[in-house]
Amino acid sequence: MSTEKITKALAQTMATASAEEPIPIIVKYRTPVVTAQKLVPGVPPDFRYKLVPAAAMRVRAADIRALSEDESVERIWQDLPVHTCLHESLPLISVPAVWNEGIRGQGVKIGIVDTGVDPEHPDFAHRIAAGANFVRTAASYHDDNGHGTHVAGIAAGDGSVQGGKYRGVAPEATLYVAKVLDASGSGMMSWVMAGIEWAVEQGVQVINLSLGGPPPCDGTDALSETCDAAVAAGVVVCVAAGNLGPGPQTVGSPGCARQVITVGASDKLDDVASFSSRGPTSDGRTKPDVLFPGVDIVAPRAQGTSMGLPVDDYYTKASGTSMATPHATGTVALLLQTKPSLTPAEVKDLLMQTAKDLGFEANTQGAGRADVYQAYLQAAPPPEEPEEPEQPPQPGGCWQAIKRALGMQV
Amino acid sequence: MAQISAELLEKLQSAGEAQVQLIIRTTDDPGKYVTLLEERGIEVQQRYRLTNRLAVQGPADACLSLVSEPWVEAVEEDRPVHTWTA
Repeated sequence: MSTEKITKALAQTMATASAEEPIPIIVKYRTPVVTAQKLVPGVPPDFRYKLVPAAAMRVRAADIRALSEDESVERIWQDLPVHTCLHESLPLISVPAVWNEGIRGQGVKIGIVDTGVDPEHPDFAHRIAAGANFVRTAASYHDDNGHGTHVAGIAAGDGSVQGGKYRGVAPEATLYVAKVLDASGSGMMSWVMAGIEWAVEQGVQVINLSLGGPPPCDGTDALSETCDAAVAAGVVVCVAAGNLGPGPQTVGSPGCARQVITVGASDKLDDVASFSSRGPTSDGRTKPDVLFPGVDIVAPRAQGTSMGLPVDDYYTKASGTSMATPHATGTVALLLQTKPSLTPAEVKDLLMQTAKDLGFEANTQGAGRADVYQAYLQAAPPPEEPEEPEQPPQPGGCWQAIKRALGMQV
Repeated sequence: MAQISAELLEKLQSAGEAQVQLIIRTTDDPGKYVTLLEERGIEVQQRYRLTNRLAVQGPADACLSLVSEPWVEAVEEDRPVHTWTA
């Protein structure tokens, strides 16, 4: 057996598999064309690939050993289950279908106004364009709490540490980070307002605010009006509804702001999370606007922090409208890449019009749980119809009738 | 008189020289009033541009005087916010 050709993971599986147990593998050949005689006799391949000279098949460990001796075989991998995203949350809202259209947030600027981020997290470190600190007790925008890193990863992580398993919604977007909350996850409204202004000045197209204060709120406080002013400046602002549900009138500032997208949390069974804050606002407006998944979300963990339930050194699991909101922010990035001319009001309308009605009242679910692919379809320009080639006159049709009418020879 | 909640007004009236943190909304460019505020012992911590506002810190009695200034539209307390992790 050629151990160089067999991956370590496959070798481990072979060592524990029974003699007759079929093992799913992918074989790469040195030759450009995979001919039948290069496959295992009596084992039809599941797939033969054309872009690379390879085939997928299920064979016994002994067959793998024999294959590894074949000079035309270059490498043999175990065919592993694929996890494409943040657990179940992204398929639930049909994000992968948008990725399949080539939309991943490229060129869109996202502002994360939060506890900062871990600037060395491999899932997005190379896509942080700028950062600023507005917390007087902190020295930089580095995340000393963990919340902002988790939020940034949901919105725009690429999941590279785990081979894409915990990929965020817009994995190619650019991040601008404002630290406005301290190591305990708290801050002042005035710090958040400063962070929002900085983000707007950086030219971000969407801002994530997974934060807030307690109700009551009618949208006229300084922070809410700052959010509305950012929207008036052309920036989409996604705000967490809060975690003070299930009672009514539990949305605080800035979730109560008029022009923002206020995000409640749903779970993977499309139920509304009990903690998700409910409307109406104290002046009687319906909130939240829309729901996104916000329960048991695994996303990046900041170095040296323990927010949530750590999965490993690089990821942690957490729940809250804090986690639902960056799903919305990443979605907005996808929509803005699809159609950059969308206004904040149009983005909000798109998300609400295409949301799936879960059957709860409006002050619990807003318009419903977002469906990202449906929103994308509404935003995407219609496919251009190919121009009809000019058809020659058909014999016996109108052309002949005209010729006859004109006394011409038919 | 500027817009202010009854609760905050009462707090400013009773807090004397205790430090308070406020956000004030001005009728026009807030930058015009920075010197005036500093002369009253009120520190301007942040000047905003998206809306006509200033974040200030100072003695409650000095801040109380702002309520009757014609260029002050609204006064509210700078309140804490936090993350929404369940």
